This record gives sequence, structure tokens and C-alpha cells, in this order.
Amino acid sequence: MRTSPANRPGFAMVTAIMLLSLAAITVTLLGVTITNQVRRTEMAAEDAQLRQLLSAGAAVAQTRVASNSSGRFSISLPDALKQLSAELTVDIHDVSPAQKIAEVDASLDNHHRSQRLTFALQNGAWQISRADLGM
Amino acid sequence: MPRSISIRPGFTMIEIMATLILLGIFFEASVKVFNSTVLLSSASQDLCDHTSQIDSAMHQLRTDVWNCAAITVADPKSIDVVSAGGAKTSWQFDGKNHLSRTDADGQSARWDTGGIELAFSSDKVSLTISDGTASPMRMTSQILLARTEAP
Repeated sequence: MRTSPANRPGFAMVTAIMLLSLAAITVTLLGVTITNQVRRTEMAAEDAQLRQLLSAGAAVAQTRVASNSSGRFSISLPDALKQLSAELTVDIHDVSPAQKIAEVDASLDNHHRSQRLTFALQNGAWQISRADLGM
Repeated sequence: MPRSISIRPGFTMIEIMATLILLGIFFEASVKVFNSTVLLSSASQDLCDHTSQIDSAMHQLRTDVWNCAAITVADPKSIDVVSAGGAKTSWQFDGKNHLSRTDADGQSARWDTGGIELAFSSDKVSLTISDGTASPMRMTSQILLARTEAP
């Protein structure tokens, strides 16, 4: 005797739904993993760009310190970086007659890094005696 | 009086064979999808762990190199980084899976590289870490860079 449609257990349907759920979980996991890797790569690229800016800022700071300048300076950047909303500032202040500190701050669109450079007067010339990479 | 015989409609051999073949294919597909889900989940977690371990180690190494006054590469697996204050920090790759750091106070830290082979080299201003790919990682010391740029 055949069962009526209402009494069918729906084995195929349940199995199909389970399989589709598993496939959906797999695709979601894959998507999350790929998205995380893409985000990490973007962050690493931005971080590398910011470190380059900090190195450029250190060179500017060295020049300014050598010329006995102090205060906050905004450094002009190439157009390619301006389009990325990049900014680089150097803030130099005196700690003592033989020591100056320069705070170099670099930022991109949503990302920011800084470093603190300590300059010491050695043999009549200002030299970087310490460089602390900030966040 | 003859008994009435009820005739139940059955399945032909071909119908049963076709159903069994379809069920077999269905079962194999479901096992493969399930395995893929489990493997992907595990691989994703491993990748996340290794990535965070390597990122953490590279962050610490970059911080050390950024403020160093000397980089000494004893061999491709070990380096000494001397800070501007004179404190020496040693980094060593055990050749298998672990990167370790020992600071001037003797405190050690260890990271799992997840099977990635690391090799160090230096041009006296920066440290290059090669992982066997075409794009090695380069970390520059601000102090050594300033010395080379100074007139």
C-alpha cells in the first residue's frame, strides 16, 4: 500500500536541507577567512606606508633639530599620498640644552602611527639617541 | 469461493537500482561536504592562530630593530640586536617551528611560526627576514638610518 503524500517522512528534503546548510557554512567560513586575509593585507600595506612616512619624518626632524628649530611642522607630501588623505607632522620640543624630543605623527585615511625620537647633542652635533615606535 | 488476491504495486529492479545509485551519490556528496566543512573550519582556525603568532613576533622584532644601534647576524638563524641604550636582545629561529627572543634581562618569549622557515640577513641599516617567498620582510633601524643620512 502506498503512503499518502501527507505521511511521507521527507527524508530527501531533510537531507537536502542539511547538505545545503553544510554548504552554506563552508562558503561562509571561506568568505570570512578570505575577508580577514584581505583586510590583514590591506592593514599591512597601510602600516608599511606609515612606517615609510615615519622614516621620512625622522629625516625632516633631524634637519629641523640641526637647524635649532622647534614647534609643530606639517610636512608637504606628494599628490599620490595626499589623495590617500596622508598627513605627516613633526613636533619638536626642547627637554634640556643637550636634549630634544621630536614626535613624528603619520596618518592615512583611518590608520595612524607615531614615533618619538630623542635627540642628544654629541660632539657638537644633534644625533638620534633613541627611537620609540608608537601605535 | 476463491479468495480475492490484492495486488500491491511494486518497484522494478531498474527503479531500485537507480534509487540506490542516486542514494550512493547523495551520500558521498554529503560526506565530502561535511569533511570540507570540518577541515575548512580547522584550517581557518589554524591560519588565524599562526597569523596572530607571526604578527606578534614581527611586531616585537620590528620594535627592537626600530630602536637599535647595531644589528649582528651571527648566522641566518640567529641575530643580536643592540638597542641605543646598549641592551642586547637575541633572536633565534630553531630551524623548525619556533622563533625565540631573549632580552638583556634574560627573559624569553617564544612564537610558533607554523612551519615557516625564517632566515635573517642585514645590510647594517636594516634587517631582512626571508620566509622563502619572493617578498622578504625588511625592518629598518631609525638610528642606523639617521647615521647613514647624516652628512
